Amino acid sequence: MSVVTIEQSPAATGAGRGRRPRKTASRTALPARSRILLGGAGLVGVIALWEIASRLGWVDPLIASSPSGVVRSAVDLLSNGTLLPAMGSTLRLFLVGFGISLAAGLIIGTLCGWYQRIDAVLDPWISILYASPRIAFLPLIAVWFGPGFLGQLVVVILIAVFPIIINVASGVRAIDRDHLRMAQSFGATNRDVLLKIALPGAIPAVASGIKQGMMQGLLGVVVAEYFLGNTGIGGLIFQAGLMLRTGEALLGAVIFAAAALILSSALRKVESKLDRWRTA
Amino acid sequence: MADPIVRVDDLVVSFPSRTSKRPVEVISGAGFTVERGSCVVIIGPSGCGKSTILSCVAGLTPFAGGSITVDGDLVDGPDDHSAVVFQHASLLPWRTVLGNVEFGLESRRQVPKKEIRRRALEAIEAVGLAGYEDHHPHQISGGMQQRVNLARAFAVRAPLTLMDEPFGALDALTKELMQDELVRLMHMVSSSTVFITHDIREAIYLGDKILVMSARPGTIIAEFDSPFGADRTRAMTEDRRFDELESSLRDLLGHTTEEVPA
Repeated sequence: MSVVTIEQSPAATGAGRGRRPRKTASRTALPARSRILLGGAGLVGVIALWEIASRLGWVDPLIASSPSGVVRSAVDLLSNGTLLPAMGSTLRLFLVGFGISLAAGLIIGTLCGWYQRIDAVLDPWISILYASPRIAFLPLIAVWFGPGFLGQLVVVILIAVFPIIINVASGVRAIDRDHLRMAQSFGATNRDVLLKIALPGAIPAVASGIKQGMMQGLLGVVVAEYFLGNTGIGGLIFQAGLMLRTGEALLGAVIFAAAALILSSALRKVESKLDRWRTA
Repeated sequence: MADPIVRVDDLVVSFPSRTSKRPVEVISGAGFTVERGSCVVIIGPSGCGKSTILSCVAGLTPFAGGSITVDGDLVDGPDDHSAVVFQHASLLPWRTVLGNVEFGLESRRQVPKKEIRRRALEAIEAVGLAGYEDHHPHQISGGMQQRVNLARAFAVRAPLTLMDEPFGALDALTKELMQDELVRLMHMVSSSTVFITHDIREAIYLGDKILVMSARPGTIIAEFDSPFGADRTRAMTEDRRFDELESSLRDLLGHTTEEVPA
């Protein structure tokens, strides 16, 4: 019997210079179930630890509150009838403010992205306002529009509208050169190019603008309610903070966090419906 | 002989230069004709401006001198006399195969909506994509995307089809398949064709007439009439005349290419 022996290299045997055997890289994706399990365990763990810490007096319940304290605040505010109206007023401010921002952002963004002259005139203003910390205008807005709903609305719009304008404009502006030439070769009009190439092509950018606008709008709602009129959930958090009712303040923060999560997951659903054509 | 469908006379094209004030001449004094119903292939080294000539004939690139006539009319912008098959399929990713083929017809505004649908379906069938009407571009292969590209151009039924290296990015097997398909289609629609390529064998296989371009500034330096008749088959490639033509083209192109030969 003839056997072919292949001489092993010193590196393969690890002999010779006493090198440690090499461990090949072994990164693989974590299964989705493990992800959810670990994430959930982390959340529950921290909340449980917080509750225990507060019960055993490791932290001052007056300052840190506790999960049960937050729940108690929720029950109290529901029963004395302040929570639901506050949520209603916040929701109204958000919906009206974001709605106006969305409409204005889509229109102004499309105009700026398509008509270069309009863009030339508006761009300096948009850039300056977008770059500046717009919350700085709060006292002025209070003076000009009053500390009521109108003033709050202006704050929300001022904060939410710019990300939408800027993303929509850059999406409309970025027409694929190959697409444009193709359209020209078939004699497409400017209107054709706008409606059939620029706008559909801008959908991903528009979606990300809407997402940013939504999140910024939520921030605008909180700020507006803190400083102009102290209404809604924002006002509730502010007042509770002043009175050291930390459970109530945390409850408000939890409500805003939940709202943000719901909004962004709803948007993701719409987004995936709108651009099924994308490979990703 | 009837008058040619394309007549290019003394074409000069120049682009603004990045380094000097004087514009750079990319095409200098190119001239040729395309007879009705024939396929003229323009071959040349990369960067010689062959795509630029095609783009001028399509009315997409303005030229500094000379004249181009297509189907009796002087070219001064995109018109209905020609349809372009682009190097990159340039499909709209948000439209389906059917929608993409309809885009050309919609833009031309020559036929009513119902007719657009009918013609688009017919063109899709002709390029062998029946059953894929509702697929989006990312769901089909590169070869199939080029078929959509072909269908979009053929659907408008322009008397002249301009093809800019449409099979350049395809793998060798798919490329041969598409060449056969194109031969079949050209017979079917009896359109006239200008075809740009840098593939010598592709040029011989498809061309009734082969024009050779020089390196930049490009001009036509040689013209070959195909020794083969209208019937294009793979058997051609085993013919002695195919090899002869191939080596004379290779010689010509070898001399004009600035690049180091491989």
